[in-house]
Amino acid sequence: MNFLSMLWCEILICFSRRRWVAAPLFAFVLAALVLADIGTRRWGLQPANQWDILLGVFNNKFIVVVLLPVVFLALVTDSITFDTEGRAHLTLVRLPSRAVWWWSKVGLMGAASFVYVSVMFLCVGFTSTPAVPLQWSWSRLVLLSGWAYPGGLPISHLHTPPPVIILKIFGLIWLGLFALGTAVATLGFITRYAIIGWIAGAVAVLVSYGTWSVWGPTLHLFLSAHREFNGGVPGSPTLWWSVLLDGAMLTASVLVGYLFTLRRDF
Amino acid sequence: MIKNGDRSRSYAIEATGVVKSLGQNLILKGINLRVNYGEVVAIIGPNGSGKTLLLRLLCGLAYPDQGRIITGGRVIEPKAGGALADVGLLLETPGFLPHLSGLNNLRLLAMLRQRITDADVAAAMRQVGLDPADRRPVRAYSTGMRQRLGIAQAVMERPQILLLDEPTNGLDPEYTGEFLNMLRELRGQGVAIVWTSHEMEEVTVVADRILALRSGVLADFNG
Repeated sequence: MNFLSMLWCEILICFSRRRWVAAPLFAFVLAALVLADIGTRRWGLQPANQWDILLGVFNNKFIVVVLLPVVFLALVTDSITFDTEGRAHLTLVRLPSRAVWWWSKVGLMGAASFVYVSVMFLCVGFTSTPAVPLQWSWSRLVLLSGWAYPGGLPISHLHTPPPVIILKIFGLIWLGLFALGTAVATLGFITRYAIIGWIAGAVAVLVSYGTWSVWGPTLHLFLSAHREFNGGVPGSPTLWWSVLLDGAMLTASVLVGYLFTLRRDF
Repeated sequence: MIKNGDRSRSYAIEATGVVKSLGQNLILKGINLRVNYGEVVAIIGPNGSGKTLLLRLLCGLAYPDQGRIITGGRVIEPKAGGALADVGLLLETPGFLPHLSGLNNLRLLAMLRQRITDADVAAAMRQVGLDPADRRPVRAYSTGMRQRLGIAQAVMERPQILLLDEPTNGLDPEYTGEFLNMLRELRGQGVAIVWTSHEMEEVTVVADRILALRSGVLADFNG
């Protein structure tokens, strides 16, 4: 009961912050950029539908590996550290144990990443509707543009219904941000400075993006899941390998944070 | 372990041989403290003597290097997920959320224990002279108003143990008198109160016992 109360309280506090307005604004900007990009290509927007816009945003390596995490980290990196000074005196004594406090922080990170990714997908989808039609199946653009298709999917994926692909990408981005956000917030918690966590996270995703470009996906640590849907990268690491990597990073961060919570003086 | 609420056989607070260092500095050198329910114990000491640290240890925000603390029947130790005491607490600077009103800050805190209603929260604010209908964010509060809000959060859930760290800091003299009356009432209701201060004058009015914390050792003030 205490855990759920604390988690709900954390969620209310997190989303009461004005900074979260940045999430939909960011999504609108990304959607507008992708619409403009497709619109200026050979076939234009005419044969496209909403799946092309969603894939244009969420299957773009730079957006997913660098931009989405950096903005997300700016929203949540201090969600643990802000609660460690004067506020901890107010919250901790209302809980039966420090463990409840820590697990609620982890839960918050899961909820925040889920809401963030949902807002991004919904806003991108919403922004695309005036410009392109809503359709259940792949658009004509996919067939017309072939390998130059801006969504970046390998041709083999076109046998899969688009909602399944989008749902997988959604889940993988969510898990990746959950894991990365937890790791970065935990680092901020341990060093006592959220900014250190944020800088470390931002550098990590940039390095990660760079290594992907140079050495291929096997060295890509963050949001590695995305690679399955990119035709231009080697196919050996699969979706499950990506889930495993992100799951391992999440588990390690959670355990380190838990042990630190038990020993830290508040 | 002693069950919560079993007052007939237990102290509200029992600290035995508590030693605590911060970095290389040995701050508390074997603290022994017993506080009964319905008793007000004042701890006097200069700034930096370890008064705040002692309160943090008593409620579980920090753990002792040596010694044993039982607060409200709970053994304060890192085992079993890091036990915390169920107390009302006011430490130096309560970290209220600056962008929310005083009422919303207290409502969020009250959600954690779920022992009181919104009406109780509003009543606690009125008790300390704050208007629950005041929609201003806490960042617009004066130092004295924040301190009153801190007192309100400490007492609103009617805790049986109250730990107050220099609670009269920033309070205006008029309200200080009301605050002391409130402490008397709480003591009459059986609440155990540990109160730290560096002002001897104010604690003599209410305290049943006055202890001095000097050089890491707790002793009778007159002793």
